[in-house]
Amino acid sequence: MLLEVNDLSVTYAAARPVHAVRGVSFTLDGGQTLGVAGESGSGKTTMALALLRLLPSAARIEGSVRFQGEELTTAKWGRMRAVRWDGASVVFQGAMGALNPVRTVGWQIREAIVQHDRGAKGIRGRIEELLESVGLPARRYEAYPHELSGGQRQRVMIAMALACRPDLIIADEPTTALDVIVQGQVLALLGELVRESGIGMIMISHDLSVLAETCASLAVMYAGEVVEHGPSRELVREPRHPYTAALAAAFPKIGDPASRLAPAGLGGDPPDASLVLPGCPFAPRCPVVMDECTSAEIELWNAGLERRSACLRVLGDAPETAAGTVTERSG
Amino acid sequence: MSTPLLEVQDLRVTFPARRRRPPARAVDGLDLTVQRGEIVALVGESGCGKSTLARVLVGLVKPTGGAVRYDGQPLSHRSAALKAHRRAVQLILQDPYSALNPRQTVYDAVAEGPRLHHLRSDLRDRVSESLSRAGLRPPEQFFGRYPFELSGGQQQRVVIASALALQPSMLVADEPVASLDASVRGEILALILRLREELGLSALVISHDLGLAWNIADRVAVMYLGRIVEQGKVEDVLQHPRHPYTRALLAVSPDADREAVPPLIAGEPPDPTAIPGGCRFHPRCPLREELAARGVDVSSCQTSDVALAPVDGVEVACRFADARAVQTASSATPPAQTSSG
Amino acid sequence: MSATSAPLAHVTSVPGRSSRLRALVRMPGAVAGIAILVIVAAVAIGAPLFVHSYDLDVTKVNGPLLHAPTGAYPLGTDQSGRSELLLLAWGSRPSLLIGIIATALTMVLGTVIGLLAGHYQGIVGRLLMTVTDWFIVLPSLPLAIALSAVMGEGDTSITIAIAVTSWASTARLLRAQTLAVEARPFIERAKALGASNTQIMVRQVLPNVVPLILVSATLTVAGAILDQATLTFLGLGNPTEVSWGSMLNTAFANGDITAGAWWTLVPPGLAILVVVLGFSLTGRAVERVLNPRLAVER
Repeated sequence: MLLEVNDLSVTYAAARPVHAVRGVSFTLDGGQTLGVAGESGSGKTTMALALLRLLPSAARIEGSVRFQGEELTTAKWGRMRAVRWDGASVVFQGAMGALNPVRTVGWQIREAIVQHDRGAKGIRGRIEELLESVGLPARRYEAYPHELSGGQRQRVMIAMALACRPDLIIADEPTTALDVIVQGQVLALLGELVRESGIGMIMISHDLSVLAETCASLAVMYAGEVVEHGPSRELVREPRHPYTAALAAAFPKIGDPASRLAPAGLGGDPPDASLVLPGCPFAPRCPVVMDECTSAEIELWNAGLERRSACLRVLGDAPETAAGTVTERSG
Repeated sequence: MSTPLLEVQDLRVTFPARRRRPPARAVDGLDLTVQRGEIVALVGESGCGKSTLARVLVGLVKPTGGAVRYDGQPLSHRSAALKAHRRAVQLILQDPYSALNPRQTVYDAVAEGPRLHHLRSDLRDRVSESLSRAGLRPPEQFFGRYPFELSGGQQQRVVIASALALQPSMLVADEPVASLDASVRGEILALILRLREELGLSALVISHDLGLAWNIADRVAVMYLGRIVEQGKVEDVLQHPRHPYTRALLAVSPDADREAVPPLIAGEPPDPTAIPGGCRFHPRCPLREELAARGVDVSSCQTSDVALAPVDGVEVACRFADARAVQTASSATPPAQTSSG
Repeated sequence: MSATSAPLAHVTSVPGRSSRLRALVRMPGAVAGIAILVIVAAVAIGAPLFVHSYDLDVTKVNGPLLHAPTGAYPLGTDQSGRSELLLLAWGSRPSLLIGIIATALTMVLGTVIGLLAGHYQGIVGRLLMTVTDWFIVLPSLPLAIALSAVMGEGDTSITIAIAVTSWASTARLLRAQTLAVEARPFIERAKALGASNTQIMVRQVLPNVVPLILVSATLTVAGAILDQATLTFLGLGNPTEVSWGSMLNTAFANGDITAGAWWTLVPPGLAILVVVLGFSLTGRAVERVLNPRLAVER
């Protein structure tokens, strides 16, 4: 198993401690792709950064993260650095700020390789190969960041993430700053790389439909917890948690008469992360809330083949449950 | 039919040359109309000139050519006329946080417009009403708040409320939900729809997202390099796209029900400083390649410009729009609904 | 559709006047700075109550000449036998007055020119900036000396000289900040709402540059007090007036350093330092409190 995360929690120390991530568990194998969805403040980025301990020192990480069998939450910093260099790399969303404006693209990728492997030979050729693998002409080696478009810069970032041949890529909103058509190109590229090289990928986004298209399985986070987990296609088509249903409905399917002139939204705001309340955290905003929801112990229950959901309604025997009624399609 | 609320004819905006680069033709011969009470979505990728168009419509950018008529009257850049125009047409920007002055409270932000237009009587009632219309209730609770204390959705509601305070007849919204969370997106779009119902507001909503058009618009106009390449009723354009560019946009709009498809068109967003001759889309056009491979003569794409022409109730700027009816149902178009066919 | 009247994640009170005052009181630096300014201001205003004209008149005082601090003269006496303590108290008046008036002039001039140059980026802005740059490269001390020489010795000429030599850097600062603020979308929105140029500058840009003006003012006031001391020290001030600068000037001219009479030099020097510190501490605190975001987080 490439990555095994068990009961991961992140708490920020403050006068009122902020529970950003609360007991997240999942596994990921090489060649697999996991999408993590949720709105801002849901803890999705914190969770992903906690895997590589890329969080500020005020954050306390609990639980277990096993990467290729090695426990990372307690690993020495030197070991941690090694993992960050060649085991796992991160593609951040801001491709503009992450590149040094006075160095060529090639120089910057070279730097990433040389720092890790001093005696590497034939670096130039390797970098040109990398550039071509992300769809940039090899002559772009000599280009400065300002000579590239946003999409090209994001491709360079992906090339840098791939430079040390990682086994895991964490992509945090890799396409939010990009244009529709370029976004499609970058997503297609990431998907292709994962399929061809057998690396694992975790992609974070607030856009469920982008994730569903690129990732095989999906985890939906709300208030620091995973509220639904499962194969992406089924999860989006038949959500078993009302929050997933709301996210799925937010980006309509063109041609679906149910969403024509009827944008679907979700009222209210996410809960205060410094509070620990009983019951389901989504209850105050839930369109299908029941009396028990505010008091019952909520966990991720089995909700069908390879699927889990943290909604009380999956416990009931009615198969088409909560979420089904929310996204009911006509026809 | 009565005069349209907004009529744009052959609009041109050219930005002067900078640093050895040729001038940028951001808007280049654009025609567009918005009827009273109508919501029109303008869709295109970044750099196509859609934001420049928005700024022309509220009088922030002076066009270099063509005509903008509002309520039958040509848009004047003389200050008194412009001020009246700016009361009637309100601009809503993408990022609500930066669109609000961080040192103004919600009350002051909403009262700003009426104050600028000397509508000081009943100012408090006006602000209250605008805030509750925008869904911030009870409004008094929000008066003293600063923008950073509000969530993104609430900030965008404040921006909308500050537009409503002037009782406009039209909203020009430039990517109104692009920087908002998925769960808030629908709420804001529903608000725009409700305002149309309650106040008869027209809206031009500018976006890169075709799903947004499907959600709220009556008509959709697809813009490419400063010009409309296809426009018509939302159902017609989005379910039976005729222009290859519209098809390409539809192909990349995410759809959970299918595998990611490789984008139909490659390359970078187009450059308004170097608009190709002939049909401006021809260098990226997948249809042209396909037709050429089948032995169709496509040389005219490179040599002569093509204007919007009516095809089956929509307007398309592609000389092969008609010949392609057979292929529309196949390949990368979205799963078309049988109901409207 | 239900409206978002849901409770906010963080319910905070609106920072009103009283809560801002409370926030100010909770900062130790602010308390120290305000305390310094209050004490110095009290001394300057109250000086006529305990300092009499004969205490400062060299022909009427009868203390020991250049004497080290004693019980009767806690800070010693100067060459003429005047009490250093009384001189120090009286000397705060012209120092503060000239410092504050010169700063006010500087701020008004710098803010107006900076805002105009930042807002009108065409020929007007370029012209204003050319003039500003010209004043920046002028060596300020010789200019001030020349101005005082032309206008004659005295407080007015010193005040004007200080303002003329220091407004340019404030204008530069304000222009840069104005440009930054003007690039933000809310300015565009204000224009779209129908705001005129003046309304944009006054209603939108100005509130956003006020913190900078305040910080700049505290630095300028400190500099102005130093300039006042320098110019007076160089003999360009009113020769009959007692100020911290003139005290230093007298001590220096009389060779008090070589005489080992530290008490004529250290107190005015320290006084200048403490007042400058008081203004800086207060300025920084006021900036923090005026920022609505920081005010609430405190």
